[in-house]
Amino acid sequence: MKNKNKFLEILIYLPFVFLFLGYEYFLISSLIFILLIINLNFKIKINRIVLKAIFLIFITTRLLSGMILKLNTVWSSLSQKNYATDGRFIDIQDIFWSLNCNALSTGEFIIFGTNITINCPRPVPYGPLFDLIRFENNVLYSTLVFSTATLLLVYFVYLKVGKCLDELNFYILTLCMMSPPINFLIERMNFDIFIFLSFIPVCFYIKNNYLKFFLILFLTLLKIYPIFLIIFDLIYVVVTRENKNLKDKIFDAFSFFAALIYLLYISIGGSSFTEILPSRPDRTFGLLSEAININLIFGFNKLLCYLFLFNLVLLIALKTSKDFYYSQLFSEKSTHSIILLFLMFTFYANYDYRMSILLILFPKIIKSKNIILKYSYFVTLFFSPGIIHSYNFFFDMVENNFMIYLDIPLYFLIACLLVEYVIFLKLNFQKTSN
Amino acid sequence: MKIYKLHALFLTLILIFLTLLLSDTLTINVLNKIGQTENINCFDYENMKDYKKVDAKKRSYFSDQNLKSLIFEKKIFCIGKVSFKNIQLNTYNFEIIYSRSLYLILAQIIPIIIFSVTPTRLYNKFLIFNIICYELVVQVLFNFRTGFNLFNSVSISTSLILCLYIYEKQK
Repeated sequence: MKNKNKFLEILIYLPFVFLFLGYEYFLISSLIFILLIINLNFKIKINRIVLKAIFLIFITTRLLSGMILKLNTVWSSLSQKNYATDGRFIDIQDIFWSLNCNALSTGEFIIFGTNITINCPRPVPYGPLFDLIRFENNVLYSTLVFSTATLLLVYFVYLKVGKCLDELNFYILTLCMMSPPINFLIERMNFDIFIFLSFIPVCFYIKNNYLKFFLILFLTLLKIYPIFLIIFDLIYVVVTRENKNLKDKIFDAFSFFAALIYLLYISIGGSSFTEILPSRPDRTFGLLSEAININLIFGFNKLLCYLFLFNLVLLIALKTSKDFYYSQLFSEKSTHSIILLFLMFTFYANYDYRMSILLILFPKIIKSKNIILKYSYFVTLFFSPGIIHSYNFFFDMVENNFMIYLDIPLYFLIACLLVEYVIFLKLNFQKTSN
Repeated sequence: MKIYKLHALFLTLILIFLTLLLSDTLTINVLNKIGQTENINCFDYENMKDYKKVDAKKRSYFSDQNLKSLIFEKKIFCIGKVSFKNIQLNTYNFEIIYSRSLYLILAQIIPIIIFSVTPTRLYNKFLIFNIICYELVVQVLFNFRTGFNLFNSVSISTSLILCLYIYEKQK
């Protein structure tokens, strides 16, 4: 028995070996170990310091290979083939170049790591604040400073969250911190990483409603979607009949209308955010993106495809609702709004890196006793983006995004969360009617 | 629905696909460039493995078939077949007969519909076994001859989540 445990204690580090050899093997082996841990009652010792060191090595390697072009092989081997590009932290490079364009109005810039040239003017398709900031900067230095600071912050959050977890859950957290959506987000260094990191203090630590409102408003000026947090917060207040004085009630009503007016302004003002509908099947998620893909191959109306997928989710929800274990995921205001925001993403079309928002829910999900919810959470996380069909074993496939498939584990996750929300609503209505 | 009916359904589907897989000697009627019907033997399509040893870059393009042509022109028997097209700048170009729509239906929509209509009381280990076998056969049919990954997101994520769900409910 002792020997068996010793063997397992060594074997459990196998995914980390694959991490640096081939990311696709890491993905599968991690998922296998996570599912085994959830199912079997492992009693093994895992060294926290080793796990912390491995994650530190991972982000340091990513950062160094991001700075040094000679480490191109390392940079590529850390990414999945779905999105791998030679460009370093390209999304944030793009933003810094746009800020430069606001200040200089003309100029030309070669994206670091590639031969792609971009010119001014180059508007950022995010919030309106980016159009106003004039910041003449060296794009390369700004990118590296921002990336280093952000990765340090990610590591700090990882340590902070990991403190409250036992050894096995800390091991799962470490694997999840290197899961495909997070890795995709770090590789691109999309501005979402900053928004998601900001959600943690805004939703979980700041108790002052006014400060919280203004911080969300600030984030909304950078990217549009945080505005929905205000609306979801208000839904929570209405559903739970949270006790508030008149002043707070007036402020809630004001913030709700402010959010609505802002959304109306954005939609009527023709913001590009409503026009961006990512739908490449190998790197996007959401019912809308899948409806677009089904429309492409079958030629059916997009709305019909969307309704079909929505019904499929409802069908799974009906199925899972039997003997459902309620985990009280929506009982806290912070998690309530984050989950609703995630659900909103899933009904729209988004890049897979936005799935990283699920990591904020990790402490709640891991403690849940709803095994189906856990399964769907981890399988979704480790298959977004998933394994593509061709890896150049025999030959290059020109159109890797040709294969169209449905994200079935995601449908299970949406179904579980919908059932959870219906129970939450039901319980609260019962409470208020009594 | 009784349990043996469910197994019979899966077994039938698996047998149909195996037949398709071994259907190299079947012929299909296709329209040629001048609009005449031509009889082509699926066996005439070259196997990708023959080109494996060639020391040059190899690229493949898909020839996506819709459901109508698959059924009426019997192209369904040639799914996954690779044919050599041309050489451009020392790159060998290949064309693969494929059908995204049929792949989606067989690999995902049919399993999820069968799963949805199967009552929970019929969940057992054999059902898990059936799903895995079925998914594997579909993957072999669509991806084996083309040299693609058999263990891709479609095959693993779909069968994994269905099997995990059934396993948990059966427990």
